[in-house]
Amino acid sequence: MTMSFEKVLGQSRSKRFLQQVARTGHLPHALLFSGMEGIGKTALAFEFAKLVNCPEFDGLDACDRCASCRKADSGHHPDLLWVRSDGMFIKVDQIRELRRQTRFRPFEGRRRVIILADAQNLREEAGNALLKLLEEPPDRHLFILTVLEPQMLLPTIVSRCCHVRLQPLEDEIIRDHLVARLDIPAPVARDVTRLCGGSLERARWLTEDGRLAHWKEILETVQRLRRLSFFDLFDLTARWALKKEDLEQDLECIKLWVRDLVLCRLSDSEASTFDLDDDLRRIARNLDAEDLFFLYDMIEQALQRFRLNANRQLTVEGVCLAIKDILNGQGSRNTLS
Amino acid sequence: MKIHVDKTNLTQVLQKIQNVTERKTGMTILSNTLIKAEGRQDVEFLVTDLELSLWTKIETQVEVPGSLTVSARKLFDVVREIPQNMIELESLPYDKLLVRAGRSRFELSTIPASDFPSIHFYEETELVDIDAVLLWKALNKTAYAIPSDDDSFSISGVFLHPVEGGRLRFVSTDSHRLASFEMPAEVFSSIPIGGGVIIPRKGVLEMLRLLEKETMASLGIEEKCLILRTPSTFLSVQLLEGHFPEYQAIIPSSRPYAFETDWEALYYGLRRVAVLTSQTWRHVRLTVKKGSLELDAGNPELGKANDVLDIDYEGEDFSVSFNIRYVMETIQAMESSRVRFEWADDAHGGVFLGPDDEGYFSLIMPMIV
Repeated sequence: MTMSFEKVLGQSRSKRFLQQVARTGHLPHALLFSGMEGIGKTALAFEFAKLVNCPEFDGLDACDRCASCRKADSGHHPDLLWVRSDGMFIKVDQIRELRRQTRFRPFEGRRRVIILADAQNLREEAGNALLKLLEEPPDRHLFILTVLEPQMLLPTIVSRCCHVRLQPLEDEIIRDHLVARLDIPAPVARDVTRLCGGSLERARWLTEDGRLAHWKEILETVQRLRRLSFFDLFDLTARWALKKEDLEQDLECIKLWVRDLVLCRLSDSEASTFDLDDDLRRIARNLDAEDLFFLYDMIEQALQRFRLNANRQLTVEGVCLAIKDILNGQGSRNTLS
Repeated sequence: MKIHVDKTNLTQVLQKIQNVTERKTGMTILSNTLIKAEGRQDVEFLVTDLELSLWTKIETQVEVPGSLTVSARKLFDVVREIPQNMIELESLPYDKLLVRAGRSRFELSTIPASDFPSIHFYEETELVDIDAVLLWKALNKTAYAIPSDDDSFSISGVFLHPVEGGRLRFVSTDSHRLASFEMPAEVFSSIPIGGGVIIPRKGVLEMLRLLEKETMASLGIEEKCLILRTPSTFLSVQLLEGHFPEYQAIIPSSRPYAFETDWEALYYGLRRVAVLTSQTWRHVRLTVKKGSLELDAGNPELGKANDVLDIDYEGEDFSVSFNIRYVMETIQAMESSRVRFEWADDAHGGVFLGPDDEGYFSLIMPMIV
């Protein structure tokens, strides 16, 4: 039987640290789990919450059998509180409610554990209210915050938490999980693993709804760009911008491809995400690295503009034109702009 | 589990437990009641919102023993609607509870009893028999001044603590007013109160409800938990941690102005002038002259109200304004045929006492109008 902590993939260093902390009994009053999405921050927080209250804790793991563990698994543990975004944000009322709930000592466990998932969604006033709680933590309470990047939180909150950085998952772990648990054919699993950047959630996302094939399609389109006439290019971008699918994710795909070009330009040894053809490799090697970095920045900016509701067609056009220009070696950056 | 219950008994017990279930948070188990039919005749009901926990039982016929948890609110709603006198509760496979009476059938979803929070009623704690009427009185006279929310200046509960002269005092304050009641400490002689305990507002209200019909009850305190037992019920209240404000500092020690008046005259006088107060214009001005008390209230939009009462007063003239609701609540809590008012100056609160109501003390901060 898989033990509690083992259910969380990878993260062996963080797990060792948490086990050590639990063994010594010197738990901090707040932990901050940071790292990209889909690497098990919330799952690890949940398993750690179980472990903290498990009466059968053996120094390594929760037992998964006792009443406390079973209640946690069924979502009925009175001393395990979840704070999740209400809509887009975590609102100040939720933190006030939390404050009310933490006025009393834990009901039946050793500690009351509060898991605040996606703390980057805290609104400013909610963040300040939480800060007040973290500054004067109630006795026998443990707060676990998960966040994408610690910079997304008030620095005062970060400084009051014990920071645990979670790493992207290793390729083998994701590949094995895809094959063993999700019944994904091995070749697809290999492709997905290379594209997901260490995030299991992204890997799962890629395996659904033919997204992998779609990404390959995008790649072909992008590689074709340098040979397209301007007329065809604008025609292509106009159709692209109309598509209902998530353009933002399409840009993420292009970003990975540009990263490959950069890697190809700088070294041969680094494993690339996509299989670039020899022609493209040759072009990439002859490009100015500065141009490639510029392109990468540009896509990053385009992504940010998308999130601010920029005009879809103009943004896609900008990116495609830049790719075409740079691959053709024209480097038509307007230095005056 | 299979039991047959009388509708009236079941309605009563379900009514009793409603206030202790939690509906706000997403934890469904806290809106459920644990029904335990383990003996042959007793069916126990347990509820908790983690702040209060309540145990009660009814005597009835248990056909098949067992236990489960089911939504307290929905079961209550269902039972209330049933016209028959006898109701059958039976657990079905797939986590359902069948409620059957006559030709009506209800299948309610349940959660296994093992998922219910383990409630600790400290059964081994020694409980002390106390005078339920006196405890009810003490809580009732202080409950109105408990703020409904905690803020940085006040604490949402009643502070019970020993004071000099072998007495015990119940105090509540919302920083605009303060209510306190004192009784001889022997009443709670062997209960470990230490330097004082704070009973949260919800606990006070539930204790009031429980004690209302009782004459005897027993009380105990264990591990920051207050346990109240009446013949058929166990209530455990988690005590608040934190420091109660240093309230003694705001009570003026010398109060040179004082008068007494008839309780009824003052109460009904206030009620009359209160007609013209509103949410924004809620003050009453007391103008005190030799032998008379003038009450002024009202606002420019609705109009003004004025009334004059006879009082025993021979000192200097003075006038002071209060929130009329506060004054009325204070007087309502008093059990006395006379009301005594004592006052120092605008910077201090006015004190209301009931000469026949020994132990009761109330302070209201004046309003600047």
